[in-house]
Amino acid sequence: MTQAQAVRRGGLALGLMALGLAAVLGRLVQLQAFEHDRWAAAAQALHEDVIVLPNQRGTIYGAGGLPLARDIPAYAVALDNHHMTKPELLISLLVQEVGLSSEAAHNRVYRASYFTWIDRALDRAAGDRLRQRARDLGIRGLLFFDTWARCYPQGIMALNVLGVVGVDGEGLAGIEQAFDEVLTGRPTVYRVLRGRDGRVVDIELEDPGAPGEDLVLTLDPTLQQICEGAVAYGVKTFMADRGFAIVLDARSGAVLALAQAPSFDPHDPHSPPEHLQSWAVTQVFEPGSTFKALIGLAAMDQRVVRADELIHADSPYRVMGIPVHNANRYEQYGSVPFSRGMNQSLNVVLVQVAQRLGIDRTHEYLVRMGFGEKTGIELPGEAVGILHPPEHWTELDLAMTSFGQSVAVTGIQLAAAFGALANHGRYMPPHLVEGSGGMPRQVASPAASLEMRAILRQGLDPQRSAGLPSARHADVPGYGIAGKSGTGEKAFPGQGYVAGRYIAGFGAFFPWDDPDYVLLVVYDEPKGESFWGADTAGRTIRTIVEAMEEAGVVAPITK
Amino acid sequence: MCARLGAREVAVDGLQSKLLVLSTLLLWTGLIFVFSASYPLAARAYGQPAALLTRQSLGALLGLSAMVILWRIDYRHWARVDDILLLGIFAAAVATLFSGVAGGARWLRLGPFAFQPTEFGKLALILYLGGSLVRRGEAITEFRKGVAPYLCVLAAFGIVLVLQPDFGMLVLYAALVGFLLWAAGARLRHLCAAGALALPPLVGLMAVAPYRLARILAFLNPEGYQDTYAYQVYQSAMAIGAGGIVGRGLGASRAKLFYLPEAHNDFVFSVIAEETGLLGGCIVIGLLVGLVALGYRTAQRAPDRLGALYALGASFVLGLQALLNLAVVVGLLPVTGLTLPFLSYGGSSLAVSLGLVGLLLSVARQGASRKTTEATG
Repeated sequence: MTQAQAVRRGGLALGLMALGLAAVLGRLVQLQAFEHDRWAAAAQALHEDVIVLPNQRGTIYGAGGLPLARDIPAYAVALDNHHMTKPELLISLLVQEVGLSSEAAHNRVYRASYFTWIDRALDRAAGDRLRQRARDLGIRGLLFFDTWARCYPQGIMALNVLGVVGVDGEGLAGIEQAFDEVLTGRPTVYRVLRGRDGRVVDIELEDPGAPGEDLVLTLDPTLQQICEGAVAYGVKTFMADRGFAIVLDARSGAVLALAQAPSFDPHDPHSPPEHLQSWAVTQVFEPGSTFKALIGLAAMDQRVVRADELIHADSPYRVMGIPVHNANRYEQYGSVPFSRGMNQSLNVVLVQVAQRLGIDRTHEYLVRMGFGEKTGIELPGEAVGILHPPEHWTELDLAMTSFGQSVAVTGIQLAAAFGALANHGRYMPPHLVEGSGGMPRQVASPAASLEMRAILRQGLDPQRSAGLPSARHADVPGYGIAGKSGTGEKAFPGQGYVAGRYIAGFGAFFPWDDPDYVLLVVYDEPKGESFWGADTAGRTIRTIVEAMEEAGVVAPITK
Repeated sequence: MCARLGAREVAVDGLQSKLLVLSTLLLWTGLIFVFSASYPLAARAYGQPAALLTRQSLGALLGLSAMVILWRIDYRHWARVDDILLLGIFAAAVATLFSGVAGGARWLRLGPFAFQPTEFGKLALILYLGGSLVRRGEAITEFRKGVAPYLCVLAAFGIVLVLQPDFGMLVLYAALVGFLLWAAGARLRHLCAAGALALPPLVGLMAVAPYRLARILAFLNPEGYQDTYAYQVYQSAMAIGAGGIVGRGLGASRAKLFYLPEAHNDFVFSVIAEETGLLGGCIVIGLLVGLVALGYRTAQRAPDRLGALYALGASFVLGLQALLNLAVVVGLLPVTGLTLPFLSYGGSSLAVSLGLVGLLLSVARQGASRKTTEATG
């Protein structure tokens, strides 16, 4: 074989390799040109971590500029378990400085991971101490990230209004949830390039983010604290399942206090999350006799009755053949002035007054007072209540509505309607955020509401023995408090009204002639010595006003 | 070019300078990417990012010396010592089996240096086969006298390579032997018969060593084994794919951050493709193709049959090894462990690649001198 033949043969074999080369080039084009996006995405997912750090959340202020909830700098502490050293020392350090149980510390330290959260919001002092001690002891692997912790400079209060913030900085209930977007701002986003050994190679700031906006509430920390104490004490004393107290600014409809008991305890892991909701906003009940004050306002406004007009009050009074009784069904009252019927809370009197108004007018007044629709208060989960359309009402429905049955209301609806009575007939939509609130509307004439307030004042005035003796529990001398108690039997599906299970409430305002404050206190199923609204909620009204005086919020009017 | 010089004083002609330019380009490209691909590993293992680059540079110096020596020596002299050389390399290869290096026992330690005898074996094998085949002459067309002796040589190396184990190198050796026999005039059916003879033991080996089977499985279903057998191949495809057309930029590979094992070594091309994209990858492949083409040109211009066989052998072994490595890296072949000539980390591999270029230069030089002689005489 000649040299030329050998070279030709060699060239043939080398030429065959070109086929292989074409396959390699084809594959490169496939990977790099056609499948590039897919591989780039897979690579990014593998090589990069996205770290999202929340920015400072907006502060929630109360009335008077006191911060109720504010973010303070904290550390989010994590552990790189693979690069950790001296695990046993680390466990004891976590127990001492972070406050973990030794079991929890053990579980977090001995975990096969590059990343284990130790504490998502450790305060700076403890964090700095932890870092320093870890350094001194030669413990490696702890990671510190700057973050924020929600703190409550006025002490923990009003969580049923404020809500809380979750570990990822998200609002979980209340104002924190309703205004989450405003309060949160934009988080800072980092892209972290990691080697497979877990080592950070590069950190890139993708979005610097922005802090959240502040929010000013109408809530008055002093009043809130007073109400929380008073209602908690009431729930205990009257052995109620729960209770709430609302204080409104009579002229603006601003919610100054919205307290409830039991309330959410952030330090108790078993505290039920529903305690973060204000049940005065999210749940409905039959208002009972407190409703009579509102029916009375409508009747005075329509001039279908006068304060001193005598009305037959003996029971039973039959409506559509059904007997309607007074609360004390055995006592006969004869004919009483309307004002006395109101203060003695005589159902028979109110039924006749409502009959004079008729179904349509009664319904219209209730709608104008805000029943059957949301008040628009800035809390999540507000209930609508039940106010049937007038075409579905019978005369019996009208009669029962006159003493607060067959309708269902929320606490905030009832308080706002009392607000209209207090505010010279002008309904101010209740609101929690400074400067908000819906359109006010005139519900009744100033004269009619003044006259109605005067009647209600008589019920509490110890100088006039117009009302039930028990109503005077709500009075504090010198403040001109006026109000109406109510004790409603609770209705349950399929059982109707159940004896022994009551909603006891008291709606009030003071001073009666030109009110500054509207108060509503309600207890659910008081089981103590008395279940009557005046004996329970009425006493709490007095407790609240006395505490307001003590705190210097109000002073008696000596007139 | 320099016709006025005498036959023994011929200057560097066009072919030689092209060979020099291409191999220099490949050498520098290799050093750059060995550094880029190895510095995370070097920084972690030696505390010095350039540690592996330094070692590679030593290999380069050794290889350049070898290249110059081979270039300046008339290749015909090798015919006198080629069998002794091959025997020496074989002895060294056998010695690796007793060197006690855990895992892949491919290395032989010489003081502070470790080298891989079977890498040098490629060069020795070309020298031996070339000389021996020329000496054998027309007997090559017979199976027993022509083909069988070389099969015995191959089998001897084969046993060592299987024991090491270095399956990829065995494939390369076998292909090289087959190629040079074919070029020297062996009959195709003899070569096919030899191949058929080798098939059963190969299949047996595959069945015995489970990792080989795993590699085949991984090759057949890379997505399914992306976290196990096919991890390396999947990471390689990811690196290459993520590189796109123009790449992440020099030094910006992420695969080398320990996601891709052997990123600086067998899989250095993945890093090249990730950092410089399809464009850079094609340029590197173009350099390799150019080198093989120049090798073929050298064979065409060789002054004699021995020179032609040497040039063909050197071009073939560089080309095939590059092709096998690339095919593995892009996922077209199961993982073999072959390096990419000039570009992968490894002093022995680099030195031998430069040595092969030296052999090509030597043949080109003698070809040029013959032309000059013909022209002047």
